[in-house]
Amino acid sequence: MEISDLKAELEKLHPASFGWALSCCRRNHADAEEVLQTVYLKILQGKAIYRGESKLQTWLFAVIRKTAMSERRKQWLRTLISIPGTTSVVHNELESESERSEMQQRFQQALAQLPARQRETLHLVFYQDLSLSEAAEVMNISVGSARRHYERGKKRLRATLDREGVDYGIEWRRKENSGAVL
Amino acid sequence: MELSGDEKRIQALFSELSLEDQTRAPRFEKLWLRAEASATAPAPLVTRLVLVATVVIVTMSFVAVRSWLSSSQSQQVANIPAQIIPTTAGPRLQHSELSTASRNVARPRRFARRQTERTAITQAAMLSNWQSPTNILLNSPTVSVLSSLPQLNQSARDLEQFLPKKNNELLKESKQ
Repeated sequence: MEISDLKAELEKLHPASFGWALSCCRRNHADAEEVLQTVYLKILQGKAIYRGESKLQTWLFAVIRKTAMSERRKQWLRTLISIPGTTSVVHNELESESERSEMQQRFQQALAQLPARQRETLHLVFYQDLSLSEAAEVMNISVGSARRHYERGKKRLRATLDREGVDYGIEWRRKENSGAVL
Repeated sequence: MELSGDEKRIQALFSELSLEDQTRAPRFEKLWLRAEASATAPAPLVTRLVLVATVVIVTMSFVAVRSWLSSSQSQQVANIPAQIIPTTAGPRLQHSELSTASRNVARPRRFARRQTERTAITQAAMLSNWQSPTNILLNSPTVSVLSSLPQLNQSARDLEQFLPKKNNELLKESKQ
């Protein structure tokens, strides 16, 4: 694939890619932006080559995931040797925290409590609308494992939401039937 | 994928999250241009420093290993006792016979001869220090008895030690 064609395709996938990068970076806006930029750099330098063996989206998401993991490792090393000026920007998250609805905040907190694999599977299925086999391909695991993570993650998320927010269902019903008396 | 009631709820929450993310997402062009700029930029100073340091360390370790090897070889040669080695050199040529052309050829020959002498010295040293692994079997606890002469009356005195006391006294009296 020519770089100009690839660029056009990447542009189409950009919002979804950013959402996935955010999920891989534990909802840190600055980190997600950096990861996505690094991914584009890898593509430009030819370090990440799309060979057409799978869907472009699954390939791109796999690259984003790997890059986010290596960036996280680097950050961990930096914190170990504590180089000044390398602490990640957390204030972005705090600023936007107040803007979110209470329900959304609770949902994100519940998501954050999930193990990484479960969170990733749920994100790929519900947010990115991928099938379980595609999600497995992105995460480089078997379909069986992806299904297990999906089921466990769903169960755990539901339990956390039920425990933390009693009005989880009420809020939902309010959205679905705004005229209904609760 | 068919979604049930709970799954639909979760998907609704995720789609709300996705809408929120889309409003906050940076522009594609911005990230792409930044990536292009850093792709053309030279390697950062830290990377270059790390590369230089790696090259220096590798070179230094190579030199150190080389010098250590050569010093250990020279020590081995120094420890060898002086021995007379039969020279294998052929009949000596007279100076008059040596032409300038043959002098040039003689240098590598001399070097080769030195090499053979050196190997002969090391081999001789190894042979002189060699001990048979079965050498220990030749030693026995009775070696000292066999290698020394017995004294006169020694066996009689040895016997007295084993006799009972009374007998000893009687013997003494009888002697007196």
